[in-house]
Amino acid sequence: MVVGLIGATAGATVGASTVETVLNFLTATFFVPATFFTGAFFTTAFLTGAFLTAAFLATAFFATAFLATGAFFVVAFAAAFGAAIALLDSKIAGSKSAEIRATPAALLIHLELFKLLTILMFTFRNFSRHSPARIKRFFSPIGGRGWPAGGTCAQICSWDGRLTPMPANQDFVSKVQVFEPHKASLPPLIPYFKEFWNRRVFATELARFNDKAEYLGSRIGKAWLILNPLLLGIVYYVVIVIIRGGSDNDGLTRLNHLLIGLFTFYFAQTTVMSGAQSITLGGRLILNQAFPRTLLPFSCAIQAFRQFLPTIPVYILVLIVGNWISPATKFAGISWNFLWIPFIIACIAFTAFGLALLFATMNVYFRDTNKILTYITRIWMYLSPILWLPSALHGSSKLLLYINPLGPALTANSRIWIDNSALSLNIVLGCLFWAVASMAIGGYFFISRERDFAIRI
Amino acid sequence: MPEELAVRIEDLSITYKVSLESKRTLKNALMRASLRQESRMRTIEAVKHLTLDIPHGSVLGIVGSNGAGKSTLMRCIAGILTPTAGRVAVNGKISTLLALGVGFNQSLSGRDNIILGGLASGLSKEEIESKTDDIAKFADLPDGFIDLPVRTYSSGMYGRLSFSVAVNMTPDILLLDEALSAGDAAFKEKSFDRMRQLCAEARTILIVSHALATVTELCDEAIWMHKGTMLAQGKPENIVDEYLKFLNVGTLPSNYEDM
Repeated sequence: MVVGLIGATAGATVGASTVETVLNFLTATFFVPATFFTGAFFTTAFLTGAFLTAAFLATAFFATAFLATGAFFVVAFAAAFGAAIALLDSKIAGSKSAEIRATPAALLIHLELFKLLTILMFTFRNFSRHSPARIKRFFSPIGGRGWPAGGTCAQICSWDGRLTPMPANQDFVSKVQVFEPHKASLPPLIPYFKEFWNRRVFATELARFNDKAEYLGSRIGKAWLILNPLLLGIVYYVVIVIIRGGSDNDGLTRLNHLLIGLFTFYFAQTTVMSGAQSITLGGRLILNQAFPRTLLPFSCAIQAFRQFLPTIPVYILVLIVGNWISPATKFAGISWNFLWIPFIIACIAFTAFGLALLFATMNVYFRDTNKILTYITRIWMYLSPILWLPSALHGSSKLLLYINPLGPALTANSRIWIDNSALSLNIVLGCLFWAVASMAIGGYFFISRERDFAIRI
Repeated sequence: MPEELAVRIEDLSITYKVSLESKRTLKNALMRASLRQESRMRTIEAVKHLTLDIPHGSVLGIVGSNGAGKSTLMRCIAGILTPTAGRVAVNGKISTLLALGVGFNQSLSGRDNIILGGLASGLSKEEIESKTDDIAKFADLPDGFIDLPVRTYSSGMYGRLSFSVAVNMTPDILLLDEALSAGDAAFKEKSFDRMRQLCAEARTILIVSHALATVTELCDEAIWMHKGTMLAQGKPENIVDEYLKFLNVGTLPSNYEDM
């Protein structure tokens, strides 16, 4: 706390001097040392557990630095960000068990947030000369001005009767396809999904072939899919135990929670990350053939699921071995509650697939989306109840579970696998909400723009 | 749409914008927007007010210099690009060879790529598997190459396999874009034979080619496209002659100048 106070004082001094200095030297070069030093204070403050101080520091830094440059937009953004962190910290610090404070998750969240803030800061720096209307216009469609002429984002032809298999030499009275521009941003959805359904074998076969190509003749490759989250889980567990100064009295329960969380999260993460790349990597096929492009991210989701399935027996094995080593380990036992598992997995799959569609579309227009996505997924993981127990949150801080697209599903997951307890209505509704919302948003973005992909690949 | 027509194109225009930025990244876009720079875009009018009827059983050659809009027109007929204005009606099953390559995974074998390409074009698994052997036989790759990863292929082998997939899908309408340049003389003869056979079955073929001899030899109709508009339509010999004259002189014939 003492160090935190020193940090706060120093931060205030830095903040105050920043106003004067920045007013005089509005150069980009100044930002580099400023970021570095403030970053150092920021991190020190975190390490001492003085989250509030750190949040204050962040806000102060952003406010002063950007007030000086007159960037009202960035100030508003940074203030909101800082306030959100401060609120989160106070909630976490005030929670009864307070155990989350001691987990590396809290620390890592802050470090990742800081990295993201630094990137955002440099990116948004020039928004000072921006009118709100322009900002709004910039964000309204992805990429703003990049649509084909005619004003609609995508003018999508009918899929009706495309390339339906026809025996050779049949007379030419097959369905006539008509391609016309149409102003609606979505194609007729029923023929679209009919086409999607007709070619579902393509998606499953593509997933199978990709698996084959990736791990052809490499046994360690396939094992790595399980080993990677397993080893990562063990490393996180060791770190948690060290930071907490010893294990709890419940044996390896925490390790089990961590593992099932990581395995499930990896399923979602793989779906999103590989789905996001599927369009930009699908070049030739997209240029050569007309088919519903949603099949490509869908195939990635199938591939991710195929990789996820074998981790379940591994989890059960760890559970049994853990119970044998340390009998205090919670052993959930079998009950009807496990019937929820397929529902939860389906919700996770749909949520991740929807997000994959969204990011795949973004990736066509902005090729650095994938890089940003690595940051996003990492923060996402620390904010999910994987390294910490959902029970660590109390009162209004429980909101954190619900604003996270995977929060309700991962909570439900842990509750069933670890505690073997029934799900609350809130959790079930939360799972459903995110699955539906993410499919609707991601699906709309993707399908309304997919006819544009062939030009932009 | 009359029964005897394979493709009917009515007043088709295709316009799109391309970004002139070196890198299309979110960071650049944000920076540019923040500096109030307009993103550098160029509007390309690839096809302008094109009207064309193609009857079943015809072989249409499309000639024209680079950037005339030939490939864009083909993509639009295939349903990959969408018209900006106008209408394209297609009667029958399409097979395309627009970008060289059958599937898209370089580390998969030729056979796997054939199957994936077929599935993407809407064939069932049984249908494409029954065709795979014919396709492999037609492509006539050296021993065992069909089961090796596509990245090990020479460009000629790659082109032969792509062509073989396109012509063996029993299409009603076959769209070929610069596809005949692949392969050696023997393979060329084989592909010509195959295309004549398709014609005899009253199938329609559209060929984009810079090899003018191919156009005169195979086609029974040709069009000349120039900067998005169709300048002339007629017998392949006449069209090729006029096009050659234009290439040698460098200016458009006087009777086209007002277009």
